[in-house]
Amino acid sequence: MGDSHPAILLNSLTKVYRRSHLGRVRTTLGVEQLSLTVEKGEVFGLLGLNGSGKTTTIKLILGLLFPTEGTVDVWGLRMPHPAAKTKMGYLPEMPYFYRYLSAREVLRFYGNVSGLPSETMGPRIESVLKTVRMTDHAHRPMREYSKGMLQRIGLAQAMLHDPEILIFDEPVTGLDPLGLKEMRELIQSLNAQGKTVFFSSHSISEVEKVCHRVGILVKGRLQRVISQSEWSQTAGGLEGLFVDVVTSAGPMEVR
Amino acid sequence: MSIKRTVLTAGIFFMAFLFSAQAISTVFFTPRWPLFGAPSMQDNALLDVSGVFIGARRFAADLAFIQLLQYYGSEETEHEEGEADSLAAGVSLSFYPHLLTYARRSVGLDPYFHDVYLFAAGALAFNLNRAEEALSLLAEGKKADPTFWRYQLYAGAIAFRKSFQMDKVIELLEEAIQYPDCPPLLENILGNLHKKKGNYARAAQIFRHILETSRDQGYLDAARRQLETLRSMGYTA
Amino acid sequence: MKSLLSIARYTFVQQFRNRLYLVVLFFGALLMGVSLLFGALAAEQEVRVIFDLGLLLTELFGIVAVLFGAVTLVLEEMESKTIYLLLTRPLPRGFYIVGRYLGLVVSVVISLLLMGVIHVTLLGIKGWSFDPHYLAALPFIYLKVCVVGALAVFFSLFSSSAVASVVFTLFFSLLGHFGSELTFLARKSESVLSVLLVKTIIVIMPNFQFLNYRDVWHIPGSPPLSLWVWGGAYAVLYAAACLSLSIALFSRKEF
Repeated sequence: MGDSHPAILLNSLTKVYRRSHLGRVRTTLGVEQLSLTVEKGEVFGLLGLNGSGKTTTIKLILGLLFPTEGTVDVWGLRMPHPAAKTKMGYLPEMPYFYRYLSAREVLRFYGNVSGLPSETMGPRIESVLKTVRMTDHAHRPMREYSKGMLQRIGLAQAMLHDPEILIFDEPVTGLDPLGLKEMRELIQSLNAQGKTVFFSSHSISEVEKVCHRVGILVKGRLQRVISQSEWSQTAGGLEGLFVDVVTSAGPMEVR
Repeated sequence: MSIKRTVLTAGIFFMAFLFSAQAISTVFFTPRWPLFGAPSMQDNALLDVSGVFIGARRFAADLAFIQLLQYYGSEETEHEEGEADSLAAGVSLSFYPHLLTYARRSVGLDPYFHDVYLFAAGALAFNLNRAEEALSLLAEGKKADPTFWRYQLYAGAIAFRKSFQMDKVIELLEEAIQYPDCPPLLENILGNLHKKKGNYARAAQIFRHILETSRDQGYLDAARRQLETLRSMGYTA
Repeated sequence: MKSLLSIARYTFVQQFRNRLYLVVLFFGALLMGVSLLFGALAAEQEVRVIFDLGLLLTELFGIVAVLFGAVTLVLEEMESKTIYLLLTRPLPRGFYIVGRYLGLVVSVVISLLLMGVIHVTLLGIKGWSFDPHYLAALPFIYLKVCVVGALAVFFSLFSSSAVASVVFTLFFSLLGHFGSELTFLARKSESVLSVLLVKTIIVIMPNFQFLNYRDVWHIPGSPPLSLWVWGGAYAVLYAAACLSLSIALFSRKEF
């Protein structure tokens, strides 16, 4: 993994979902011919409507899905690659945890699975709990947590092993204004530490506040990548550009 | 691990266990259990097959033995155990006509359940005067396990009883009761035989032993009654 | 290896914090008491009946516990999506499967040890003199439980349905005790196709005759205990084969 490699490189990535039922096979296009580069230290937002392929893209990067065609490289390593996974932290749209464990136990468990050394585990856990402001609740079992608390622990586990890339799937969905502000500040803080942040959203206002570049997905295809300088100089801003791209995109081919 | 490597690993393990299965089967596979043929009692066929299916032949045989005890313990008609009149007349008692079938069901599941052979043969020969059934059962036991020589001991006692050589019967039964697997049924019979011969002290000793060791309420009660009678005659163990 | 042991440890903890599991254990202990009832009906054979029934119940409950544990372990985690945060970490998928399996069988074996203590206590009360065959029977019961557990993990990944997994595993387990009869059928049959079919079944299904020490130790001429060790090797290899296939299936699972 050298510095010369981009953080994330997607090359002609295609994912077709196949579902067979009673002998009949139905196919659904997830993403098609998606090529994208995310540079080191960048905050990249993936914008799209519901069902546009944002989560599919993220899962392909993380190795939860396997491409039908094309490749995913993280720091120059072809995914899925264990070494690449040590450098990634993931926050799903709705984090699910083991109900019987407390937050501390969950974080210790993930820390062990991530290969964190024992001597640094304790301080690191307390540090991320403090960052997400969950220190006082960390002893309670996860089944007692609210949605917002689960989201915070989700962030904590994503940051636990100090990854270089953070991948968030719809991190701002369902957050109140205070929560939005905290999330925004966290992303900026992580980026200030030199981390690369890649996240998906359909909240244009949040994306334009933190991202350096934005990719717009429409029906599985990356229609356009726009830089901050571009949308800040456009009359309608990022929203106007987004609407133009979405409305001008052709219909999806159903195979 | 790549999928190819995993499947290859699985293939290697599979070959390894095929090999070990083949190697083991030359030792294990001498059939020691009887193959499960037609069950001797249709009513309980499902229960018996289930026992075999879950690898519980011993317990299935235990259940069959419990049902044998329940059958034999059920009151078919008023009768006395041991039987002076029927013995003297050489008449077979027709009570419990299916006793042999019940026994065969149990030993069909576990041919090495020695106690079933001994108990059932003792009941058939000494209580029900059906020596031929008893001897045929013991012959089956001996065929299944020729090393268990007490089948011959019991067969000998039964044979002497058929020819009314009661001293010989007593001699063989005295030997049989030295072993822990001797059913209390035979101890009870020996006690009765001693009592009939006038060996009251020995009879009292045997009934005392039954009282101290048996778990069968029927025989405990019978032993208590016998000891009461002997005590009233001035004999104690 | 640390991550594998972490998964195993967590699985072990999860089992004992699962109330359903504790209910199963309670009923196992309760039914041990039922063996006293059967024993009472057996007169002079009371100790034998308690001995046989106790070992049988220990085995049956072990199989039930490991079967339902294995099926819910993997399928439940996949459905609850708690697996996402594990698979996005540098955790080889094989480690996940093996770790879950190890945690499960260890928890079940410990439960069986507890049942064994209850059983031996009951036997002692009834005047049983210690028989070393009891100690020899227990490891083979545990090995049977391990094989059933591995089969259940395989079928749960193969079928993705809890009900189907339970049915398939039970079917294989039942056939596994019918080895002699099936081999007899194969020898007697004249049809090449049926011989091939039966022999295939004999090879594929687990041959529990090699592990049924508790049922056959009293048979004159039974193989000495030293040879039964090969039965143990067979069980380990069979379980390893099932787990290897499970890892292969799991490696291609998408989430």
